[in-house]
Amino acid sequence: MISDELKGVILTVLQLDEWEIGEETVTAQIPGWDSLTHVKVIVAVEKHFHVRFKTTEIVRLKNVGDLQRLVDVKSQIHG
Amino acid sequence: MQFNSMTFAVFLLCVALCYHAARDRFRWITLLLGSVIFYAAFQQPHLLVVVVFIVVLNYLLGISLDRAVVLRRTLLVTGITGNLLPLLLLRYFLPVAQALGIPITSPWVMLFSRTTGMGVSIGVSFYSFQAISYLIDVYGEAVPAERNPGSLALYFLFFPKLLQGPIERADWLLPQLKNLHAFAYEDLRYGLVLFTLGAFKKVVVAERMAVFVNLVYGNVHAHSATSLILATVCYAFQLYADFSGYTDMALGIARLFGVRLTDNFRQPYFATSIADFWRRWHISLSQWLMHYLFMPLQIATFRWGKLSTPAALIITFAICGLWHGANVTFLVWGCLNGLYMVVSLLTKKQREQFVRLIGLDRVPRLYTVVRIVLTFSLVCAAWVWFRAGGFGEALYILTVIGQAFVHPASTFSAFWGRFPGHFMEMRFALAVLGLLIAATIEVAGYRGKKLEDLFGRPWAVRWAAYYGLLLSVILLGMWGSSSFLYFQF
Repeated sequence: MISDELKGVILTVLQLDEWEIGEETVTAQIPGWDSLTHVKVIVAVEKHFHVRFKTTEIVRLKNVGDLQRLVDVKSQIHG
Repeated sequence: MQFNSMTFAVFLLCVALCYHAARDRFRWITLLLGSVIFYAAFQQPHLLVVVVFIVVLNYLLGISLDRAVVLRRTLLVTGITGNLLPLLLLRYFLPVAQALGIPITSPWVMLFSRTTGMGVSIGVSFYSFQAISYLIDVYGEAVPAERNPGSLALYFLFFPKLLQGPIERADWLLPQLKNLHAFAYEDLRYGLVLFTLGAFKKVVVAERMAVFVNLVYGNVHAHSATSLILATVCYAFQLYADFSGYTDMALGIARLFGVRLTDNFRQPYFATSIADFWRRWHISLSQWLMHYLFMPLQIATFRWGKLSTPAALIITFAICGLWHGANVTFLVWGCLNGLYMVVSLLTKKQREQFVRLIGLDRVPRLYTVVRIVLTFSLVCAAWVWFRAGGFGEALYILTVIGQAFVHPASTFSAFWGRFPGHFMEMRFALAVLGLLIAATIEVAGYRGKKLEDLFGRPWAVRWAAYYGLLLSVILLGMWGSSSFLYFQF
């Protein structure tokens, strides 16, 4: 389940009003989210949730569900 | 030993027979031995030393990375450096020595030239990059370290993809190579058809196009703008048919053994932007560059603000250019592609406003066609640097073509009158025929059709397609000539 908080960060960075985002949604399915904006989205997520991802973790993300799980794990560690 | 040679056909038959005779758990050994023989057949002993070095280095470092708690980053940096070392030496030692003014008769240069055949690096750039991706993935715990050195060696050396890729990720290829099974009819059929399709692209399209490209690019000063434009467009098709033909043959051969390699092309000349082109062209290399170079660079330079992505793009594409060879034209080709991407990124809003202003967005089909044509033109302008004999020659070609567009009336009014002779010959018509057949297949692919769809058609249609393809290869093909273009990289 993708949290509204994560969805909000993604939509803000990509300047989208609304878009359906689920666990299996891949970046290519969201307008404006491509390899060029990928890091921009990730850094915004890091800032918002006060977490830090490794480069290898960022590279491995396959869909938004992976990102949500990574945020959850990191938030628990930092929390 | 090239895929389009009789020697390779005999070799493949021998490997297939041994593979068939072997038990499941020994099949990987037949493929590994076959791959070593395939590589050794190039009669460059130093390449075997390089590949043994790469296997040993990555085996030991992979295991160490798996176990280590401290110094993991040091191990990774050592591994990346070690993997790049043979490639850098083979590719750049002689050009750098030449640039530094070291005479060719000096002992070190003589020794290097003699032992490496003047820096022959067949396949090294492909498996070195694969090795780097393996280590980074082990470091990032995306894949476990391989415990069987033989399996790791086969992952690097697997002969269908050894010479020109695709550059395979460990999590995709290694499990397949560790789980080989007996021949399956479906795999054999798919593999043979794909191999024949690849052969068609190579010997019918690429080889025939090459004749005209070589005639014009062999003496650019003797040719008009029209000739240079046509030759550049032909080169775009030649390069694509050559490289994607090789890839189809590689994928087809691997599939005979039940192994699915990554597809390297997805109708690249239907791309609607340069970014889209790089998602469709040499996919395994562009994915590699994106994952292991561009994204880390972008993260490392994120504090630079708006400069971050453009800087990461230019550096990535410059390295992409240099990966193709130690030549200033490759560097310009890479930087030009990077520049295209940067300009495209920075002008996105303005371009969208312009399209809305002229109402092109209200005619989506026309808009798509315009974008495809513009992208193809930009790609062709970059291919001039890729093909030209040197910096001055590329600049000359682009200047002549540019002037033709500045004064189109005088240049193109006499288009047919000055139409170059080579392109009026019967053999060019055959090349165009081959290209049309290949283009039809491409269009079908663009519309989402797959090769598997053919197997579901009535038997008469299927067999007509098989024989049609085979006959085209035999009747229209040019045999016994050059090697594949990407062979040099």
